[in-house]
Amino acid sequence: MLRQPGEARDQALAVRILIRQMLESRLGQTAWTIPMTYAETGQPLLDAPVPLHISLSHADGFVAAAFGTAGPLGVDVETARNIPATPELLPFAQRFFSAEEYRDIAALTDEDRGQEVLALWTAKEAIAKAAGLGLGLPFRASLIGPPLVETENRHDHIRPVFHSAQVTAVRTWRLETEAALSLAAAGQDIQTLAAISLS
Amino acid sequence: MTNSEIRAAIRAFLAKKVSTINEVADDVNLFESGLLNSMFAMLLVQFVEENWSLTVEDSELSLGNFSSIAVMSNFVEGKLAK
Repeated sequence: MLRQPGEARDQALAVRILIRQMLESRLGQTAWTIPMTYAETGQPLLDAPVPLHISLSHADGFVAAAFGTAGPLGVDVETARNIPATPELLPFAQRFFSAEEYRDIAALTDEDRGQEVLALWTAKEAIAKAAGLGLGLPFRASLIGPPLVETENRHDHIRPVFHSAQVTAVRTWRLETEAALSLAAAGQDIQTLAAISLS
Repeated sequence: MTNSEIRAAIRAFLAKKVSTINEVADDVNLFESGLLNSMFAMLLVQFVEENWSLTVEDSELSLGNFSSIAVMSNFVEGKLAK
């Protein structure tokens, strides 16, 4: 994850460079020559000897990339600037979140409401990417349970996912006070997700 | 409402997010070009529903219906004609 100010097009390029740099540290210089392809579901893939599943995201100066060999994964970063303004947050939550999620969000203060919308949205988007569903994820379904692992930072949590046998958990980090990052990985257990550190 | 009026309304909404929208052709894929992300796609869905008093079904929630200004306008025009 890195901070990359600039236009959306610059960030789209920056995130592709980021994933190549991450892979270079693991695979060596050959990472720069591996062609990027796309699965039928739209998920990017690197055509390495062992297929590498990758996921890329950028928003408003934040770019994030993740890769793994166990199965598809999804990463999503979003910033407070991109979510609806305070008066429009509740209608947005009502339209795109489950009834229970909407009730929980409605009970929060304005500031916490924005943070929770960011966290939930990135979590659902990461799940959608890992599942290869894009906007086809049933966003209004109750897909995400309460935090499973207590961490020192209450803004860093892992939640169970009730969507498919493949995508079973999602981890969400709050970045500063203005953004959230979520990672959902198919075939990864809670302990593996808990061991990941942002760099 | 004509297709060009729908396009104008969608362009006006997109201008809030993309300052250079006037330089973007109607058929440019806004997501593949990195101009928009999925959060804004949902805001677009909400805008379309509220502005034209219609409902976008879950089965219609795909980037395929919201990928470009032309595609979105045709989608809205089709919904209004039903």
